[in-house]
Amino acid sequence: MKQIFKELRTQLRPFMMLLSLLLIWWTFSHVTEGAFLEPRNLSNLFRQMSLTGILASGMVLVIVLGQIDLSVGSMTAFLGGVLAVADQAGASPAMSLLYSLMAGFALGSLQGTLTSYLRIPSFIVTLGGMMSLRGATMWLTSNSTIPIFSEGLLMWGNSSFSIGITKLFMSLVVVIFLLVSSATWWRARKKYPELYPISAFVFQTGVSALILAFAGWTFASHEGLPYPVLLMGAVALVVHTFSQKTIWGRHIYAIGGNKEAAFLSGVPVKRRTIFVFVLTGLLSSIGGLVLSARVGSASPDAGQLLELDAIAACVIGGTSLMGGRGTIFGALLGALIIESLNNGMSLANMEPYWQYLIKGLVLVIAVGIDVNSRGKRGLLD
Amino acid sequence: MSATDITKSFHGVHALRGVSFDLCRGEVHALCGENGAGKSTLMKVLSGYHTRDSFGGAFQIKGHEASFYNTKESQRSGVAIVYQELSSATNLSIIENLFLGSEESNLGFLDQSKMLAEAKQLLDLFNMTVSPLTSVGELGVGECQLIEIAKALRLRPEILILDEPTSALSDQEAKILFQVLRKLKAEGLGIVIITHRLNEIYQISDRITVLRDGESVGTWKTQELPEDQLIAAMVGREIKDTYPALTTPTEDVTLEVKNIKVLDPNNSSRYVVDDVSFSLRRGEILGVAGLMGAGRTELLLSLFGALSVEQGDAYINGHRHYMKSPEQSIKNGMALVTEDRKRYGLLLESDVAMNVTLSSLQKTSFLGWLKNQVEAEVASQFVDKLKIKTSSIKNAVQNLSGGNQQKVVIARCLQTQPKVLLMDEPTRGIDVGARQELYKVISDLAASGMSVLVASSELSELIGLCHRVLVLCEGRLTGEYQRQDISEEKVMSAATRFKKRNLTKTQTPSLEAAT
Repeated sequence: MKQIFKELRTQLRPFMMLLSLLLIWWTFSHVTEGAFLEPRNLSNLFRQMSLTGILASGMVLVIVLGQIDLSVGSMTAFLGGVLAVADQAGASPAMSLLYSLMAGFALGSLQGTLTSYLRIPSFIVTLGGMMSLRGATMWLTSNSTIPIFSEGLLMWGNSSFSIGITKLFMSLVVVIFLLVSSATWWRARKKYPELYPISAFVFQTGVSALILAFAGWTFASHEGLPYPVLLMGAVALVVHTFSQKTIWGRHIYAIGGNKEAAFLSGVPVKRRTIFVFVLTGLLSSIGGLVLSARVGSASPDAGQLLELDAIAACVIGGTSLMGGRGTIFGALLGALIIESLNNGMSLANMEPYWQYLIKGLVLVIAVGIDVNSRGKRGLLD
Repeated sequence: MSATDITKSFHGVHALRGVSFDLCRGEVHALCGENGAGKSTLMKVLSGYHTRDSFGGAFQIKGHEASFYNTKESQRSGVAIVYQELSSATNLSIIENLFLGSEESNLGFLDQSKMLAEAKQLLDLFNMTVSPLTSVGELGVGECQLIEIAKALRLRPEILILDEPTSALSDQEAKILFQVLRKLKAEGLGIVIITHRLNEIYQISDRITVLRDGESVGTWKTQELPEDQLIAAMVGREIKDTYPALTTPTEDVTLEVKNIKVLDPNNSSRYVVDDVSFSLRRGEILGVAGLMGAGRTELLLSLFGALSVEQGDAYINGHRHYMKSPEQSIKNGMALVTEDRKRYGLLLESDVAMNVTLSSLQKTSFLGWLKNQVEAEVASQFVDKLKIKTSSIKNAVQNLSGGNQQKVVIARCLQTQPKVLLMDEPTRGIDVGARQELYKVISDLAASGMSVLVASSELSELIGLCHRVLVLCEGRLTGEYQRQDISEEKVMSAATRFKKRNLTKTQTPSLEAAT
């Protein structure tokens, strides 16, 4: 028993996050007399969360690297604009998306190069990017709203799979997830039992499976699995796997942990930095698709403050702004917390000033608890 | 001041075992012993650097029990210490450094004129003619050291502790320092001086205390202890116990370096490595000696591709080695054990396995995909082979002791299977036992055919460990000695060939530009 408790302590952080999420949900369900927890609203909540989740998945790696990207909001707006303009010019949905991805790739490489090779701090590079891309969006859209007509694009905002497919798909996802993670864990445990304790496995895998199952139940009880949520899941899975299972992902964490040591260990710091910014460029393009598909158009002032939601999601999810630490899973949970606040407060008809005030407080308190529950890093920490 | 029965241990390793020490007014007391004997630890205990709870024993100042929890408290009791490593803020001026943390002020505003007057006085004491407004970055190492001492004197201490004050000084500067010390002594100050230079001990000290392996061997009046007895007391055992036997290197050259020049990254008008050529044979341990700022670290970093090389070539086994990046150097069969392992060597918060495999992830992966089990196997092998003491390979390296951290860095280098291993201060901050193990590891590697280049500030270490030693001064190669005809005197004279050492920076060069 004592052993299990000790092992669970290592899982304290995700556990605390889950607990605070449940607390927020419980509060809103009281305030809204149960409306918050209805499948209709929760399904809507997940749909809203998908944009922040996609952007936060990229942002995690930027912050892990020890950098920051303030431009994703403007970038999302601009790339959504590219999409809409291409659509209006008659390009097929696939081609429109390709144009947008190419633009995201180019902008990401530019910001990455300025940060790594020209050694301009990423805060400045992306602050400049945030401003100039907002300007570029205004220019691209001629300062007006450009509607999107292609169903092939619009579906990524509002459509869902049928209930039947949703049930089948989500059940499959849960089963495959359980099988794969158990098998991997079992193989590893056979060789190094002390490194792979049972409790951590049960907690991580169990909780993740429960969340997936709950989300599946929610979708199945309302409109089916929304396309953007599927997109977010796919993005998160790919980025998570990349960050945890590949050499390049390992490099990114190493750079964030100690840039000089990583460099002297033969990690190509500059190239990896560029890569991460390219990744956020590409993810902003996908974010642009979800955002403009949801509202059915691209507009010059779309996506404002999105970067801050993404950063907040990462940080609430346990990503350290000092670099070297952070997970995609945490960022998604953070995005869910942020969107739960947004959604719940709107549902409860709270005044906008209250909404901003509370979001700000939650951010600071969450990070305050997180930082102080960790050990000290240096003399001044 | 008197201290009795001081005991201090780091992570279970005893650095001090029941040491007693006393100091009278108006006395210069020399503290001698080999590296790792516990001299610096003892002084850090006495100056409050190690908090009162962290060591055993007791000490009194002027008959009162002293218990310091930080250096501020010890300063108030009149204890001032000047550490071996320079700790000046190089971006600030002399005056700002002198008054750092205890600025003279008037209603919250700095009282510049008062500070100027006081600074002038202090500089005059050391016969220094530089303006107090000069940036410390523009001073030589020796001048920096004197500034540090002046800073300590400003607090008007009754006890002054100097940890190897002359290691960075020229003879002239050392002479001035000793004049000042004699004057202070006459004023009733008690001075503790730690030094490796025996002639200085006889020049300046009244009494000598010898430490060995954390224990006090004894205290003598200086004139009653002849030099040979002092050495016997310090060493206390045969040198060959510390350093392992060496095998003879083969004749084939592994690394050939021709006319390398490296610009100072902080000052592009001078070279930190100036026209250096040498060759390193298979199975050879080659030492690089030199004073602080002589360019040892820079030579290693530039060979490894971490500093850009202005001109010159290098060849590994006859193939051109372009010193372009650490990444490339590792591919070419080179590995570097960095000087400051915490800052430049390790991912402190990451586990042992991740640190060990970082330089050679291709070996523990398949098509870019990491294989966790292979990684765990590799890490476990190194833990066994190098006897790394850790609770598990998933333990964060910040929880390991210095010696074991160093072994993790070495494991990472070995995992790349290098032909040439560069080591910068491999034993810095490591206790005696771990040192011996490391020396054994290094000599075993050489015996297995690896070529090792060791840069160190500790001459005795180079003399004991290396087949051959190169001496750098001002970035230039000023001496080369074979094992059989090397001596500390020869190396020191080569290391001080050029007197004017004007250094902008004495720490490890910044890697900002490179990363």
